[in-house]
Amino acid sequence: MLKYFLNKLLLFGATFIGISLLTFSLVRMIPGDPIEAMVGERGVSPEFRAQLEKSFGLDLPVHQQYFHYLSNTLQGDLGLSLVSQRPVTEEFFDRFPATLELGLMSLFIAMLIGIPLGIVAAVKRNTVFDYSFMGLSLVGYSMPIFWWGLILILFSSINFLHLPFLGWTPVSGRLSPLFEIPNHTGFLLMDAWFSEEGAEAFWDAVRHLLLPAIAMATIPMATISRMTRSSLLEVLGENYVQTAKAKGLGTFRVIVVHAFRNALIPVVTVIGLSLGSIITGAILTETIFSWPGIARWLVTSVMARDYTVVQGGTLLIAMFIVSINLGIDLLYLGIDPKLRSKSAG
Amino acid sequence: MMKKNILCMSLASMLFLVSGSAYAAKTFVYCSEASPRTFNTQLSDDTVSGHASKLMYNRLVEFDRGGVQIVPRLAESWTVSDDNLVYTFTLRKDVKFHTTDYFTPKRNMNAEDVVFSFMRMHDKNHPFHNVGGAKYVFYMGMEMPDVIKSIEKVGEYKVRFTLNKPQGTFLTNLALETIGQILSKEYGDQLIKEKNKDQMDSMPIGTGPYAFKSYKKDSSIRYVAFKDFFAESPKVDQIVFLITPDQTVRVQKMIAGECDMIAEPPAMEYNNFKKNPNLKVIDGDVINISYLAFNVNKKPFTDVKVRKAVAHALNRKSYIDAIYRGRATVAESILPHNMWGYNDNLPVYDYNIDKAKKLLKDAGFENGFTTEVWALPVSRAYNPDGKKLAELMQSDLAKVGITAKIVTFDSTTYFNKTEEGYHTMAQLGWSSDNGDPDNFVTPLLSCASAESGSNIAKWCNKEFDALIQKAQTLAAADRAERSKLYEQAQLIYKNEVPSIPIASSKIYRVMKKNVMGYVMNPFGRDDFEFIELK
Repeated sequence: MLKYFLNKLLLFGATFIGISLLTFSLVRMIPGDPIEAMVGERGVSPEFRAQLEKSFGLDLPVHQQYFHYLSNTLQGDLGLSLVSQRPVTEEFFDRFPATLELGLMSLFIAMLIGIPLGIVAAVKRNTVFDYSFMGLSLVGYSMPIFWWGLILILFSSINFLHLPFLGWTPVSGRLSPLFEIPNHTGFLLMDAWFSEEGAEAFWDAVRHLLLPAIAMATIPMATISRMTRSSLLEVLGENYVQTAKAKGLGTFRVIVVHAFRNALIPVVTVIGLSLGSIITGAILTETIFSWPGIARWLVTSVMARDYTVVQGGTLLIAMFIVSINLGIDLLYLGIDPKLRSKSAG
Repeated sequence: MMKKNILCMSLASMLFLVSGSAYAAKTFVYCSEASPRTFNTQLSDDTVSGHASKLMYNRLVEFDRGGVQIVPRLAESWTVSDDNLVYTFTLRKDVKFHTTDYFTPKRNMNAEDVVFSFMRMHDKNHPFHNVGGAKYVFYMGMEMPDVIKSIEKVGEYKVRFTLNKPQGTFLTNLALETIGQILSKEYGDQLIKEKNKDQMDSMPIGTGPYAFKSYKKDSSIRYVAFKDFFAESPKVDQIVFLITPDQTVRVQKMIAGECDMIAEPPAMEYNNFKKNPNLKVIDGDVINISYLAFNVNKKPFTDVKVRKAVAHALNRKSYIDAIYRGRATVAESILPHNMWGYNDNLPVYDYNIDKAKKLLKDAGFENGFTTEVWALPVSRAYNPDGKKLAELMQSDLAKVGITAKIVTFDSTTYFNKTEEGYHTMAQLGWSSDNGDPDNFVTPLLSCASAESGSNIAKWCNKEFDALIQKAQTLAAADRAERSKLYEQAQLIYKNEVPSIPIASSKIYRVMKKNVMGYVMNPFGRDDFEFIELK
C-alpha cells in the first residue's frame, strides 16, 4: 500500500520536473521574445532593449534562467508576469474559478445527456435509436468547438431563424453589465446567489454559462455516451444479468440496479479523464465566449511571449491534472478490492 | 405543484431579464478586443491600454477633437523661448483629481503633479520609476530622455521644461497619452505611505472625465462619470468595457445589441452594418500608409530602374477594391495624403506594363528575374490582407517577367527579419503616433533607422537625411517652414523609389443608433469623452 503510494508520488515528482523543463524550453523556442511582442514593428534601440532584457532577467544564460525558475518554483514562487508585473500564482487563481465553473457545468451537461443516451443505445442495440444516438455523438465529437460555438450563438443568441423559444441566451461574457457582483469565491453562480441582486443575478449568470458549457460539453458527452454503451453491453451479456432476468425482475431494475452499476466503473474513469481534456476545450471556448478563465489567459500570454505566465500557468494546470489522476488512482484503491490486494502484495 | 411553481418563477425571472435590458442609469457598453496591459499608457503603447486609460487622464496640451492641432488642456497657456529650448507652461487652477473609495484629493492639480508625472519617466531615482517595470516605451522611443534637460516647478501653477536641443515635435509629444498623462503626486505620496506603490497603475487616479471603478480580469472594466471634471461634464453615468477578444463574436454582440459600440469592426462586415436599421456606421480617415519596401542593398533592387519598373508594374488601383473593399486611397508618397507636409505635386508611377518592361530592359533584365515578395502576416488597418495582396502583386509582376515567390512568417519573426533586411521586397506599413510628418520619415527612411531597423528599405540618402533632420530641429510653431522641407524630401524619395507606397486606408466604427458624440481621432483611437446616449 505504502509502496504504491510512494510510487505514485515519485511519478508525480518526475512529471513535475519533466513539465517544468518542457514548458521552459518550449516557450523559448517560439520565435520572437517578450520585448519584440511588446514593441511590435516599432522597434527599440539596442540600449533600451538591453535594459529591458536585464529587468526581465533575460540577459542570463538559459540554464541559469532555468535553475532560477526551478528553485523559485519549488519555493512556491512562479515569478511575476512580464506583462502585468503581478505574481503568476495570484493571476492564475484569480481566473481559475471561472474555468472550473465552466468545466464542471459542461461535464454535468455531458453526463446528464451522455449517460442516458448510452444506456438507451445499449439497450436498444442495433435499432434506429442506437444508430442515431451514436451517430449524433460522433458528430458531437468531430465538431470543431470554434465552429460549434459560433453556430450556437447564431441560432440561440442572434436567433436568426426567429424561433419563439430562443434568443434569450447572451452572445458572450459571464454576466451582463447590469450587475456588479463583489468577488468572494470567484465562482460567479455562488457569488451572484449570495449578492444583493440575488436570484436575478444568478439567473443572468446561468444564461451566460449555458452556451459555452454546451459548446464545451459535446466532446466529453460523446465519449461518455460511447463508453456507457460499450461498457453496458459488455455487462448485459454477463451471467448474473441473465440470472436477474430469469428471476423475473423488471427490465428497468435489471438495467439500472444490476447492470449499470457495474458498467459505471470505466465510465467514471472517462469522466475523470474528461476533466483534463476540459482545459483543452476551454482554450477555444473561452476565447469565443469571452470567458475570463485561465485558458484564454494562457493564449494571450503566448501571444505576448509572457514567458513566466506560460511556463507557470502550464505547470499549474499540469499539476492540477496530475493531482486529479493521482486522486482517481487512490480512489480506485477504495473502490476496487482487487487492486488493493494487488498493491499490497 | 411546488416544483411547478418554482419552474414558473424561474422562467418568469428569466423573461424579466430578457425584456428588462434597458439600464436604469445611462451605461455605455464598449466591447473591447483585449485586456489592457496596464491602466497607464506611459508604460505600454498598445491601443487597448490606450483606450482603457485615456478617458481617465488629461495632458498639458491635447489634440483638438478629432484632429491633430495642439490645444491647451491642463495648461491654459505656454511660452517658448527664442532658441526653442525653454517651454514654460501655466496651468489651470481649477483641475481636480478623481475622488474614489481609495483616494480623496485634498488639493487641486498643480505644478508638483506635472513634475512628478514626467520625472517618473525621466529620473531613474524617482520613487515610481521602477513601478510597473520601468518600460516607458514611447518616452524612450521619442528620444525624450536625450531631449529633455530638466523639468522644474517655477511657481504653484507654472512648470518649465528645458531642452538639450530643439525638438519640432515636442508639443505634439506632450499631447500623446503614451507620454503626457498627468498623475497625482498626492496619490503617489499616499501609496508610498501605504507601501503599495503598484496600485498607481492598477487603480488609477487622474483628472479625466471618467474615474476608475473596478476591473474584473479579462472580463470587464467599469468607469463612472467624474462629477467635478474641469471641462464639459460627462454625459453618461457609466462606461463599461466588456472584453470580447473574438472579432466574430464582437460582431454578433453588436447585432444582438449587447454592445453600444465595438472595437475594431472587420472590414468585411461594413456593408452588413450599414444595412442594419439599429446601427450607425461612422467613417474615418486615419493617418496611415502601407508600402512595399525594397531592400536597396540587394540585387537587382540596387538599380533604381528596376525599382521604378516594379512601381510601374503594380496595378495599385486594383488593390483598393480587392484588399480594402474600396475603402482606401492609392498612396503616392511615404506621407499619407491627409497629413500636413504632404506634397501634392509628386511624379506618379502609373500602371504601365510597357514602361515597366522598357525600364527592365534598360537595366539589363529583358528576360525578367526571380525574386521574393514578403507578405505581411497580420491584418492591420493599413493592410487587412497581406497574403492576398502578395498574390495580386505576384500576378502583376509576372506580367512583366518578374517571378516572385511569396514568403511569410509569424508576425514577430516577420518584423524581425524585415528589420534585419533579409527580404528583397516586403510589405509593411505605418500608422501615425503623433500626427507629425517626422514620425513617418524618420523611422521609415532616415539613415539612422536603416541602421537600427525600422527603415527596412535600408535606404540612406544624405540629401534626404539632411532635410528631415533640419525639419526636426525647427520649432513646432514653424509648420510652414517644416512643411517645405518635407515636400522637398518627398521629391527625393519619389525619384529614388526605396519603397512603393500602396494605400492609405479608411476605417470605420459601428455603434447603436442612439450613441452620439463619438469622435474617432486620426490615430484610429476611440475617444469617449463626449459620448452621449439619446
